[in-house]
Amino acid sequence: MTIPLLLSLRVAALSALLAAIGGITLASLLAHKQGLFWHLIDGIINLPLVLPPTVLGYYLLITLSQRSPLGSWLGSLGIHLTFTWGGAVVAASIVALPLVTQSARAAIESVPSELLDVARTLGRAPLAIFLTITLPLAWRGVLAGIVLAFARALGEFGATLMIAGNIPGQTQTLPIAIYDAVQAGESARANQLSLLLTSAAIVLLVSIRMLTNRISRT
Amino acid sequence: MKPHKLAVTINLMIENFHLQANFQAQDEIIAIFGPSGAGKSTTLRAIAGLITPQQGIIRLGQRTLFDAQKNINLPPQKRNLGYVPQNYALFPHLSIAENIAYGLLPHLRHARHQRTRELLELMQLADFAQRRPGELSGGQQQRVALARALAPNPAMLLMDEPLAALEESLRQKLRAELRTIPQRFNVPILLVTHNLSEANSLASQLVILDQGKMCQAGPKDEIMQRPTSPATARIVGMNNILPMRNLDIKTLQWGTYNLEVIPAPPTGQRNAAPLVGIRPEAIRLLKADSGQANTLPARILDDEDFGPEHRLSVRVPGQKPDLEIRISTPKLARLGLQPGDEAFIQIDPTSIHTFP
Repeated sequence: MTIPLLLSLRVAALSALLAAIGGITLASLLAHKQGLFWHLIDGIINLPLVLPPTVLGYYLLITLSQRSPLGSWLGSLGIHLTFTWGGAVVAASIVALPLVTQSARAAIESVPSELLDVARTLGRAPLAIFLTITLPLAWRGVLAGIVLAFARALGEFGATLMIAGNIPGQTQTLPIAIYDAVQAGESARANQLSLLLTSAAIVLLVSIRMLTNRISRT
Repeated sequence: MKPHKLAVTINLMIENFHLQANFQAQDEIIAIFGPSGAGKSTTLRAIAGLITPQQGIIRLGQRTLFDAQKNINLPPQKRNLGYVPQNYALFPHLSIAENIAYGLLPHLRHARHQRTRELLELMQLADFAQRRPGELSGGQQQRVALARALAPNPAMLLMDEPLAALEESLRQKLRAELRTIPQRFNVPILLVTHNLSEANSLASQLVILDQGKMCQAGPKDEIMQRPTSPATARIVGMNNILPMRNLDIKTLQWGTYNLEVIPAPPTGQRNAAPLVGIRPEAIRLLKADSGQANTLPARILDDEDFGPEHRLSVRVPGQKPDLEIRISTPKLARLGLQPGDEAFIQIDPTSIHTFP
């Protein structure tokens, strides 16, 4: 039981980190942008929210397999992403990315534009303004997005199974272990693991609510 | 030292709004004045570099801030202008001292600290240095916004409706305080206001905008007394616009009444049926005919009490339109006149302005 849990935590933490870096960057680029081009970018980022995870996993499998150009190049660098826990991280990051992006974008857009205007007239560079004004004022929304991404990554199943498979001790995360237990008829084990995941999800969702409630009060 | 000359020619489209502004001004305090929706704030933001006009030139002294044809468009960071928006836009997560220091170079720590201290003292904010903006009163917040904008020694201070967010009791005090800024900090102010008395009491130069169009720019007294068009006249409170006929070199005829005009309008401007403008405060209300020039009978129609003064609407028999008069409250009380009463009015011959 502890092996799938530790693996899941490791995959989810790393995925949330990657999704945070990508999501904050994308959110700052997308904030206040209008027009077809930006809507298209926005749509592509949000694709994992609506696509069946199996489709996403299948795409990942064909782009990262040893036979594909990207996969063989990564392989030559010693990075193998199919049927490894690294592949699970890639799958969970992509699934979690739109959650960070959406939440961070809403938080960034809620920072009053006059503050940024004044900061510009005071001579500060765009990156300095982002780091000293935008992020400090938007951090609660950004953090809520990262926690949500972590929760989503913890529960990721379909895409992970497609690209990383079900190798006990190596790629068998908690949700996959539950599937495995049910298949093997071990209902006690399935119950334990399901209860564990459900409790973790409730704790995470409550903490998100506490973060976002503070936003509306300030 | 004479302030830099500001020369603005801009043509700007945003959404469905078209702004064309064209003026030059050089003084300690310049006010852009006009009704709401005139494009005043947009003009200010274009000067600050926060929006880019499609065409035009913006120059301050010898520096070109913007020139569409020459492809010059300095970013706001390089314009060296202090900007104070209507709600001050103080950084809520930073202390007062950090707000003021925001525009000062971070790596010159000593100079930064010195200048912040200096401004905290000058703006009487030293006791609040470690507080957050949310803990301060409206008047104190404005002083923080001013200090923050003044800290990097800007070439000009741009202020959007500087007094609009304050309560009435504070306004007078801060108006007096604002007037001292150009001398104390050696910086000219360009401010935006929709309040005529504010524009009047603060600025010596006015720029009048209406619905995105330039009306007139120049010294305050000239615009208040000699607006170039009836539209501008109404905006600056010259509310009596009357059609006249030219009788002779110094006499106009309003229906059946003759009015003497001093000085006579220049001959080049004489047309047979001119419009004239008369400020409401240039018409005197009398109980009896004093025999002075330009005394006409009138009936009081309406009386509106503004506290220190009253606005009366009066009708001269047989004449249109009705006239507006402003009269101080004690003066009206001495006359003891009220709506419905018959009285006389006397129009000062020097304050009848003939539009060109």
